[in-house]
Order: sequence, then structure tokens, then C-alpha cells
Amino acid sequence: MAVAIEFDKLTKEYDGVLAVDELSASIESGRITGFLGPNGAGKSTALRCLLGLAKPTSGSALIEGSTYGSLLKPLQRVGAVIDSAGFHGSLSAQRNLLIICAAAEIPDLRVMEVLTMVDLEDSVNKKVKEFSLGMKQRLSLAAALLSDPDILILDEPANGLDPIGIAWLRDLLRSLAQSGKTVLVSSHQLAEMQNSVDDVLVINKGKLIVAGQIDEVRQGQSLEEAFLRYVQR
Amino acid sequence: MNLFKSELRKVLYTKTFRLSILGATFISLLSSIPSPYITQQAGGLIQNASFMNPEIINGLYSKALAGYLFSAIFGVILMAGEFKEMTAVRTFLASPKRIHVVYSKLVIAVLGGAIIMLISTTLGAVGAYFALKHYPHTAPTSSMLPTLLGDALLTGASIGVLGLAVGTLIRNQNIAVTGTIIYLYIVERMIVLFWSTGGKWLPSGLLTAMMNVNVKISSKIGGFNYDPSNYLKPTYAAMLLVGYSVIAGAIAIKVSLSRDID
Repeated sequence: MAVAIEFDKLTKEYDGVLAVDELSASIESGRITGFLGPNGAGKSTALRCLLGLAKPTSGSALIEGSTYGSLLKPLQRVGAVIDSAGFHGSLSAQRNLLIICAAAEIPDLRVMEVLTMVDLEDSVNKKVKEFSLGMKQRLSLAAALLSDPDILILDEPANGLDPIGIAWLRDLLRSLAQSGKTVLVSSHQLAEMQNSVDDVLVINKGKLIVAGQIDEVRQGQSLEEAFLRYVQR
Repeated sequence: MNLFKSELRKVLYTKTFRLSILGATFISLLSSIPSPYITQQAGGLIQNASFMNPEIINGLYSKALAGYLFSAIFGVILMAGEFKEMTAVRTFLASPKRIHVVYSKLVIAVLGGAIIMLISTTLGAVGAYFALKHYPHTAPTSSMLPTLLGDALLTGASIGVLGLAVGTLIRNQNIAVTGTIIYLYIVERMIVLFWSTGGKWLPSGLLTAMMNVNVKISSKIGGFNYDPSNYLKPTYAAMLLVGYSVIAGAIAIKVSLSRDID
């Protein structure tokens, strides 16, 4: 299977502190890969390096063999949820997405389609500052899906979602994978992710602990038990 | 072009631009309308303070340029607002080539700053025109209006870029806006009033020089002296103001390219 995303000895240091320490891993196309680890493990930093928002201290993070910055029309190939904020609070959901459409050469008509996909069709004209955290997460997902990209990079997309929202997210991820998309989804909620992902990368303190298909990693245990086993080795 | 369109949508959808025009117009009218009365009351301090002196009338109309602070604030919010609203991530994801983002913001800062000044200065000049109707006065010099509008455009564009650079360097929008207001309206004005040798090199001093108003003001009580012969020639002042904005734009580009996006 083709490699969609590749970390090669990725290292990121902030003021002498190693946030990511020589992370090497590959994410295969058309699968949901969980990028798991406790808070502060370095997941978000690694994803920020992957998306060109932070410059690696050394090593590389590539999408289909290129850095994000060198992709032609990146938003049309990669959708990302990095932060549920990131919207103009005084503007409606629709206008926030229209701003992104203009930047990424996406037809304006697509806005209503994605808002419907994330069940926000009744809040099109509502100001984002009036949104709950869960609604903001859905809007972030809508922004990521705007261009119908082949690769989705989602950083803690379940944050703020209620149990119904989490179930909805699981179904969404599954349907995206079924349509052949590659999804890299980070989370610190291991129990919830074990029902959603095909493969896992587990990191702790910036270092890769284990990578592989979820059943191989779990070895009959829950993901949480398996994680503790790997960390305590 | 796509990024420009996206930035334009941000400007048109949010209130910052409209509020900047309103604020600049308010300050411009506040400066220009009472100025004939103030000038008349302060006649003893101003040489040839007669409203029959066209230079005095030019000076009164130049008060309409007072709204430039809002071009600066517009520029500051254009960049610092991205970090306040935390939209910087989405902007840079749409265009990972950050240089393109900064270029499009620079163009918006130039255009937006110039439009803010053009509107506020025009309305301020109209205010001065009606205020002067209450006094017997002569007409301004024939070059006054084109100079005023030209200065408005140049100042708005340049100060807009300077504001953008401040917003790039100081990502906390509240600190950047407050600092800009305090600097432009208090610190710089004090320097220009009381130390024209140094003040003439600052944006306010350059703006004063660009209006080429040949009126001397002196006060023994306040200790300030305004003598146009101390200021740069209008052309040099305009060139220096543009130079400042070019340097500020270069700093904005360099800082944006080198920083991680939070």
C-alpha cells in the first residue's frame, strides 16, 4: 500500500526542550491511523511540523513525498483540523468558510454541502462566537472537508463533542475511510480511538513507542492497557 | 489573487475597516471643525494669523489629515487580529507560502489605509469648509486640495503598512493597538511639539512637512515652537515616509517567514 504521510527522524525542540524526538513512522493511504499519546506527548507539535506551521529542528515530515509548503494547492489535497478556534467569532459559519473558499479556489457552493455534512445546516448564519465547543469542532471538520481532500489530518477532533457527537465522528471517519481517504487522527482518549482506527502510532515524551495495526498493538488488551504496557517497558 | 480575494472578504465581512473609517472621520472632523475658532483664539501665538492669509487657511484644512491613527490601527489589526482570533493557522494552511500571505496583507494595508484616509480627510475638509463659513476668510492656495488628498493617500498607505509591521511584531492585538495609540497620539506629538529637530523625522513630523504650511507658532508658556523652516521639504518628507513603510514591510515579511505559527 502507498505511503501517504511519512515522518523521518522528525525532531522539534523549543527552548532546549525536545517536544518531538527523532520520530520516524509511515501512514498508509486509505486507512485511519490513530496518533495516540497522553497530553504533552508531542502529537500536536508533530502535526504542526507536518503542516508547515512549525519548522522542524531536524528531520522531515512529508505528505505524498513533499513538504506541505511545497504542495501545489495544499488545501485541495489535505484537510486539517488543528484548532477548534481559528474562526472569526463575529462572523457566521458561512462567511468563515467563504473566506477559506476564496483562499483555496473552492467554489462557494461547497460551503452549504459541508455544513450539511457536519449537521450545521441550521446554524449557517449563526455567529461562531455563539457556537458551543462541539459546534466549533464540527465547523472545523467542515473547513477540513471543504475541498473534499484525499488526506485528512485531525488533531483531537473529539474534543468538546458529547457522546452523540463522538459516535457521529466515528461514523464520519469510517465513511471517509470507505471512500478511500487517508485519515491521521490524534487523540489522548485511547479508549474512544480503539473503535475508530485501523492503525496506531503511539508516542510518549516525543518518542515513538509503538506503531502497527491496532490488533497487533493491542494483543487482546484494551488500547489503554496496551499503551501502559508499552510505556512502562 | 486568491489570497487577495480571501483577505478582501475578511476586510469586507468584519467591522474593523468600517469602524476605522468612522473613527478616522470622527477624529478628522474633531480636528478640522473647531480649528478656525481655536486659531482665532490663539492668534497671538501664530504669526500672520489672519484668515486673509492663504497659508493659515491651508493649515486649517490640513487638520483634516488627523485620522491617520486609524490607518495604523487597521494595519495592526490586519495582522495581530489573525493571532487574536487564532485564524492565523487557517490562513497559513491555505497558503503555506507565507510570503504570499504577507504580500496580500501588505496590499490590503496599503489600499485600506489609503481609503480610510481619503474618506476621512475629504469629510474633514468639508467640515473645515463649513466651519470657515462663519468667519471672513480668503481662499486656500490652488495647490491645497490636490496636496491634501495626495498626502491623505500617501499617509494612509504608508501608515497602514507601518501598522501591519507593528501587528506582526507584537502579536497581542490589545497591546499593539494601545501601544500604537499612545505612541502616535501622545509620545510622537509631544516630541514633534517640543523637539522639532528630532520630531521632524517621525511620521507626524513628516506629515506636517508634507502639508508645507508656512506658519510659525511659538509659545513662551508651553515652551513649544513650530517653525516650518525646521522641517524637511515636502518631497523629501514624502519619500522618507514611503521609505519607512518599505522598511516596515520588509521587517513584517522577515518576521512572518521566520516564526512558527501558534
